[in-house]
Amino acid sequence: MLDKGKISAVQMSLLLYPTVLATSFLSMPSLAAQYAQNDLWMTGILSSFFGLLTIYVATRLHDLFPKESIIQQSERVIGVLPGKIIGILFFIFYIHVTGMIVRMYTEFVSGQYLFKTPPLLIIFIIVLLSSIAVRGGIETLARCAVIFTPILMFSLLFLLLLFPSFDVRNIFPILSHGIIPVLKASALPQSWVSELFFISFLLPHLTDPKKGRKWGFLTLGAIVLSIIYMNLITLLLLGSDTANKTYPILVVFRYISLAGIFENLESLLLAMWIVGNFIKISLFLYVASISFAQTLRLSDYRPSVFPLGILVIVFSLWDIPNFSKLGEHLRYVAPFEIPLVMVLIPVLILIIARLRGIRTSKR
Amino acid sequence: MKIALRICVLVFILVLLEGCWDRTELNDLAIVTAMSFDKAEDNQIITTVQIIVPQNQGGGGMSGAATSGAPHKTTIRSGVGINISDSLSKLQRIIPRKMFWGQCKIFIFSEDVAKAGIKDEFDFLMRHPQPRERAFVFVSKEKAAKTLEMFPPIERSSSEVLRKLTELKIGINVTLEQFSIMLKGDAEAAALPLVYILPKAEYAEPFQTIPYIMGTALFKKDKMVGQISEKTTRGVMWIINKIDDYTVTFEMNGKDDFVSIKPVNAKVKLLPKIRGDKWMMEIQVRATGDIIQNGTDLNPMNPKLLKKMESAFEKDINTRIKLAIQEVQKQKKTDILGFANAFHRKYPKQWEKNKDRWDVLYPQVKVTIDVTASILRPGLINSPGGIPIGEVQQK
Repeated sequence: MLDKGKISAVQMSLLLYPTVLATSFLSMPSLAAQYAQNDLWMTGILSSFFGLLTIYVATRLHDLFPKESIIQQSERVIGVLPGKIIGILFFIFYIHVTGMIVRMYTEFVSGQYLFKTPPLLIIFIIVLLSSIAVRGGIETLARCAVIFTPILMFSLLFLLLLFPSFDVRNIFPILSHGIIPVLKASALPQSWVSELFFISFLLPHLTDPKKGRKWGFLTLGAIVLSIIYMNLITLLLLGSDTANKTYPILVVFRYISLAGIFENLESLLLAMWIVGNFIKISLFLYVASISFAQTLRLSDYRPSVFPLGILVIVFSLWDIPNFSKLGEHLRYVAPFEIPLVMVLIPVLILIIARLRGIRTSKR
Repeated sequence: MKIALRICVLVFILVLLEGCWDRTELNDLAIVTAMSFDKAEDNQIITTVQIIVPQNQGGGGMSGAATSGAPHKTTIRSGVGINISDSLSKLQRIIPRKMFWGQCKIFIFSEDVAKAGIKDEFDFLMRHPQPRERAFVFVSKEKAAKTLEMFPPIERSSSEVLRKLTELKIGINVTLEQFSIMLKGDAEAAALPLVYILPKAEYAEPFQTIPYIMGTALFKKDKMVGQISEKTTRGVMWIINKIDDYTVTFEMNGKDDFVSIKPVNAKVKLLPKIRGDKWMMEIQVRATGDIIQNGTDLNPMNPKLLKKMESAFEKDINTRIKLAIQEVQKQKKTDILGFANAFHRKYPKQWEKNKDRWDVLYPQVKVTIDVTASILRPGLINSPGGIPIGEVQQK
């Protein structure tokens, strides 16, 4: 193994939670409302399907080849050359997705808070910070997550302060347009939840691998509950206006006003956004570096982190001239490309492994 | 060598972490507390901002201020442009500091701007990151800039007066976000509170008065189509379930004997019904309150007489609601009562079919009112005060 670090199953869970939610939660309600209208809160429930599938596949593959990630597993199952092709695909895809995440992060920070700071600087700082954390290894990342993820989760509870402004009637009528719009709307959270496939890279580091699947499903449960919670709060507060917002969660946070004390909480949201995205970008960069090193059979992944970080910066600027292009990418490309790599390929590898009759290997 | 490199990196990070680009200091900012929009010639718009005048610390200002009336703690500046953004950029030329809107909680449209349609202005207010969604929106009967020009005797600024008045919940109060929701809703109608200027007291200095809220402006889409009186507004507030800590005075026995109930709390439900082609709406009111003034000779401690009072109370609520229905539904034909949403929620299929002709349907919706009111407590005395015990009607 390239990284000798050991983490516990709980730490893995705390790493995965922001990895799925940190960027997506901000505009999730409006993207869902554009299709599902006032049924958007259901998308969370429906989106758990890919999550269940991808965790199941990753843990099954881990049972077959413990101590290995998907990159090495695919080489074992479908042969060296096709395995290498998949490895290269994986690492390019991860760099590309990391670039997208960094761009989303920057769009929000420079579009809503730091108007004059050059975006390139914001990109540079977060990638530099993440690269340093990634070079520290998986244990460093896990400890960061132990500190930061609770901040992220706890801050979400502040949304409950809005309860005097809730209008419960906004939920009705339920499913007036049938289930199809809800299914369409859940395509996007579906794809984010499939990012839980990263469990494949974390399982080999677990001190208690048997708990891996259980905590994977628990993470999924927490994520699904958070998605429903945020969608529901946005719906109760904004009603038919939800679909029109770029960042509905920002609006919701700005709307908090309780007893003249709890006001202007958007700075809290920015803090959540930064710590959450730091974990998210770090884990993506970590996985990208590991895939790169494993595909090319390097003896250490650390030297490649900074160069890959530069690639991430390039990917974050490439081909996204403006926000509407980014939105188009999120709506029409991401729901297909992420499940393709994170769900479909692993499922195929598992099926091939089964067909070739590879049994659970000796422990 | 390695240590030198590390120090270089540290210094580099230190420089970056300061965030110098977006540094803002309090004394570089002009804190905007309210903003108003008036019409200018050639379809241009006048944007007026109310800015807090930074006060000098100490210096015995209080005693001096007491003799020369309230100190002027705010000032206003105006800019003219083709739209808000344009007029704001013109406005910045005459304000030496950068405008900061974090505290801007009041937006006032003048009546002629509202009548011409506020789509453009509204888009700006919702799109720009600085205006807050919780800011309150008003329509001003007079020139909107005038309402900001006042120097209120009690509060710090006229915007503070308006904000405090809304907190008392005496009228319909609407935040930017609520207005946006109303316009995006099924009814495509909205209501905003109207602002007038209180005639100043005789001894007061010029401009030493306040803006106050009375009546409601009705909007269809983004255009103001009319206004309703304070009395009708009260009726509307019953229907939209905004009654809270409220006083009701009603006539007993029809002979100039009045009873006042406060605080009145109410739960109101809209129960839509569709029977064939007929669209009906039942307004179900459950109200409670305590007696605070009894001008009759009835003793409310007698349950039978209390029942009488309650039915008079119910009748009064009924009349208030009817008045509002008559004016808002039948005359003004503007659905600020939430009927469209109620029908949509209960009958989604019929709604989908008929939503395009809601304008025609709405005035024809048959409204029935079902009021149950109860008086909970008699207050500190039982039989009516101020009259001899013999004249009190006990039974």
